[in-house]
Amino acid sequence: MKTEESIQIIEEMIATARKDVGGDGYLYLSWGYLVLVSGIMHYLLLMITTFSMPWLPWPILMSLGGINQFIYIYRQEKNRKRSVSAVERMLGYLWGAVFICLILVLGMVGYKEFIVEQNSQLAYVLVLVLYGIGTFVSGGVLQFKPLIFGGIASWVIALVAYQVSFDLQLLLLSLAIVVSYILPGHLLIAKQRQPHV
Amino acid sequence: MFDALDPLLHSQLRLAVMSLLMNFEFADFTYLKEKTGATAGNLSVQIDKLEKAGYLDIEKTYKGKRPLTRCHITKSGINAFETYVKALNSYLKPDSPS
Repeated sequence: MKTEESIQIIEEMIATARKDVGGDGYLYLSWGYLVLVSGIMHYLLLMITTFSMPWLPWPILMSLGGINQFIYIYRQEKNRKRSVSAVERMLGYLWGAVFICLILVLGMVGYKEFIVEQNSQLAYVLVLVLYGIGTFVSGGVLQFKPLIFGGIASWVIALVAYQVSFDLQLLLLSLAIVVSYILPGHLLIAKQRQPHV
Repeated sequence: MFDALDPLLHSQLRLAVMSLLMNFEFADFTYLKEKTGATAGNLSVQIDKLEKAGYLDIEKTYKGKRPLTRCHITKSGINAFETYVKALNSYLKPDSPS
């Protein structure tokens, strides 16, 4: 075997492995769309109805998201996901931590603001900040710039959201989800479908 | 001067397996077979050789009723791979210090 052939094999296998390492576009997209729909439904229920629990789409759709993720991971497991990288393990812990923090934030701040005060200023801002951490770090680990920019965009939008009324915050949250989740999710899937060199 | 290339790694399939395993904490036999395009028999022989050299750990278990073979690269496997890549570099850039 020539040295050039050795290098070609190494490069091919690294490219193959990189395609399989972490960054599941499907999960980014499914969560992205669920959050987008929840945000818009919350906005519409708040603005055009007198429904006393306009935030209700959140627990319902997020629970559906959880079930969807569980089924997806179970199927992957059943199909014997056959390799695990340190990157995947790290991303699993990262999003696990973000998810737990989201539950804590929405459980504590959200409960106080939505249920007790019937008005929120901080809950969604914190949600945006946490999303930003998840997408920014994922982008860095996967060396995927759209996610890095998406994370930064989430933080900028969080800064703006802190200054505006709650109904506008809902629209900003939806915008942040499009920029930080949905667009990068589509780009990530497109990248994974590209034939490797 | 050229560095000697590890003969164990200087083979298409064994090099492909090691290159893949450098990226993962573990990979199943079926994954390696799919990605390298090797036959099960040939792959089995080659990973046995890598295991005997101490470059891989092979773990044989069952998942339900299906046998499951998992390969992990060892520290000495990582060192061997890095040394191999350095040696390759010395062939490509013979003037640079290795």
